[in-house]
Amino acid sequence: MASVVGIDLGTSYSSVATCSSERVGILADDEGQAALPTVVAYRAGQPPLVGRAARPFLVTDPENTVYSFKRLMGRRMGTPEVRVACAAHPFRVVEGPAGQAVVKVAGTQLAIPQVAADVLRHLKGLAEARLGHEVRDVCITVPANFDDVQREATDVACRLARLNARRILNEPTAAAMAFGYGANLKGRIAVYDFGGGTFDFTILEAEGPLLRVLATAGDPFLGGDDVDLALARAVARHFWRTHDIELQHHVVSWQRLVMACEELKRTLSVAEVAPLHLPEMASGPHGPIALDLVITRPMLEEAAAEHVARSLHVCQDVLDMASVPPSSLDAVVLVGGTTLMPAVRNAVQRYFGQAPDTRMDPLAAVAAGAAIQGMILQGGHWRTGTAATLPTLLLDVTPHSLGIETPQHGFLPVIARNTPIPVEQVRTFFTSMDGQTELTLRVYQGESTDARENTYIGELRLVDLPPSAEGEVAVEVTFEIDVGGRIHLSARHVGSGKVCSARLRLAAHNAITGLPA
Amino acid sequence: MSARVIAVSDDHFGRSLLLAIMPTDLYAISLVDNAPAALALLGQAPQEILLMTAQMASGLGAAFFQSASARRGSAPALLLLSRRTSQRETLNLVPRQLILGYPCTREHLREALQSLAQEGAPAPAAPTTTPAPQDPLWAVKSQVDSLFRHLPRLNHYALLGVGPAAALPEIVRFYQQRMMDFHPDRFCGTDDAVLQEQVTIISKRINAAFQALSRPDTRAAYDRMLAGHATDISSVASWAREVQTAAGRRYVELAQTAAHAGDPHAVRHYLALAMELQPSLTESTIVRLDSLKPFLSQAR
Repeated sequence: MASVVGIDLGTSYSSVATCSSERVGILADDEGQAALPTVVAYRAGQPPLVGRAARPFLVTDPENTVYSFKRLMGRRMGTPEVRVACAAHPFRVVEGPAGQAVVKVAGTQLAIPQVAADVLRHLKGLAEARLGHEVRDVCITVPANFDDVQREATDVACRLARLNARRILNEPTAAAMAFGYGANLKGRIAVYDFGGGTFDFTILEAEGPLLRVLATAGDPFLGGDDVDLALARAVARHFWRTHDIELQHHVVSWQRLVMACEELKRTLSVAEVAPLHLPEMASGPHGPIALDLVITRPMLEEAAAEHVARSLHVCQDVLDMASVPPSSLDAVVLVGGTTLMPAVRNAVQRYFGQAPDTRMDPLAAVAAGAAIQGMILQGGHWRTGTAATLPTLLLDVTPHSLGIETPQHGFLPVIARNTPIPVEQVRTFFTSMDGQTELTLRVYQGESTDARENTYIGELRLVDLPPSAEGEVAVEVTFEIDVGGRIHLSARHVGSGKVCSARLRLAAHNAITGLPA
Repeated sequence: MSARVIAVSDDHFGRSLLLAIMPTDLYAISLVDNAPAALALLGQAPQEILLMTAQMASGLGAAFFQSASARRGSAPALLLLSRRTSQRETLNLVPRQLILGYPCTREHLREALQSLAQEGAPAPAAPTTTPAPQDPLWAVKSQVDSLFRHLPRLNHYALLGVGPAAALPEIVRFYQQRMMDFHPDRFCGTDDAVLQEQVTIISKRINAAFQALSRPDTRAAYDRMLAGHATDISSVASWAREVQTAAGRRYVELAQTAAHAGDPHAVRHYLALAMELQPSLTESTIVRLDSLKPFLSQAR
């Protein structure tokens, strides 16, 4: 029997899980490792290496080894997010078709979904080896603050890997599903999801088998990666003071330092101090210089403080949106590797006035939740029939407002953020010029009143309208966000009742090659 | 005859009908006015008899009946159903049902109760939820189908199954219950595309009802619409006279329609579009629209 597996495609680590009638399990690889480093090493003329096999290439061949690419998913070149990412990554990011950020590795240009597809193929192979049958359908997770272009990019990545994304699930919601699975929860839960690349905060109301999202928001550029970089910068500053050598200018040394800092960060979650020893970091007048330091937990915490504080600002925003005081939460669930840091746990405890719930493995929860949703998509509910014994049913919200651009570049929201999905809104539009036969709506997602500051989703072109005086031709446009959070637009010519030849041109991804029909 | 009879109707006509025929020791409740009380009654008594009017059997009542039974873990032992003989539908949900005449009269009811008394008290309900007809999912399908067909004439309150005076926690509770029953993910396993389409539409409507009723401002606008008092945007109408383009006037008209429909969000949308069409007016308009702020802020 074919199953829908759950995939957590993370910025730093990815994993795959299944859920049968009673058991949820992360599928480990041959070495017993559940978390696959989200790293792909490209070598000219050879198949790419994925995961642990690719990690050494981060140091030996940094220009052709792609990591943390999820931060570039569905993003256009020139946006602040991409500029930050470019500065931090040794691999080359260039402008591809439709202004999209693409990577240039091993002599070829690859769209980000193509890189993601290499990771997904690996996970698919792993799942198939463990399950003994072909895997086609998946439930894949994305940060809650992903917009529709980023979700589409994730969907494209799945299709490139010959996987059918039955549902694109929000990561914090997935974690909540895993948390609530079989627990018969009641009350308000907050999910504090501090991953490798993104931070999300979601408040849910649990009522038996129903999980209802009250509000969600996130920071797409706040993750454990930033903590690693902050620590690496602090160490580099120290190195510069001692030796007058700027390590950031040496790609290989810098990369080694960042990797060592990630390792250190994890060590310092259990130890108070840890040594940092990196030989031959630079060459000085008296031969190679080694980096030798003892890093203490307070040093790491100082480097991380700014990022932890930023995460709490997001929490405050979400609590305000949901009109929920922090003290009224029944549980605060931690998800994502960064929450293993004692500094994060302490900050969360201070902020919410209660100890966070750490019963769940913060690295496995998202994939497990995706697998549970996968089982539901397989028809888990339909077969069991009655509502009482069922696993969680999810009522999610849309993380961004959806709307159109007005002639003066204003943004006119049609569906507000944090609206429960599925949702549908119908709006009528009129032609504004005599003889107008085409009507174009530019669709955006975001919260700015200036459309140009929001994410451009695509263009709905209504053609072949009957030529008439201005204001005479009316077109009814249906804005829909389905139960999986994806946007659908359709249009109907009022009067004839005919469905218009409406074309929604998506902002990106059309140019990606090798997409199965 | 020891068992209680509880009569539930889904409209005011049905309730008057039931009240007219009911002996004094029986209960009659209008689902529309007091759904929580109806559910509470059904939830307490393990073995009552349920009397429904014809509309109930095919309409909202079927859905109500299902959720009440599910909540209690058993269905009433006997269903008295008043329906037209031409009506082919039955509620195939309980072990026994007795069809009364339609419209149901006191005579019909007395006859039915007498015949029951001769048989003795009704057998206790089966411990499981509902006795399975041939297709175990038949009940779910008929529940979806009947609600779907009644969707256009259900207002937000009736759709959620709450009374017009319901407080927010109650609205939340009934919204969640409704979503539990009609969540599209419950129907993933069926290959019945019509059914899936129906629950998708139903779930969107339930969400829309909840969105409107869960916020005091939008709820107030909706209540005004139900009461027949359109929200006043006459100052906007006066502004509309200054709109020079036909399209602009159309947008203002739509804003007024939306105001009548109790949808402040759409009002704001169409006013903004009208303003965009006439940049020359924008500044003075905004000043004037500021006087509308209490209303427009509802749209946010």
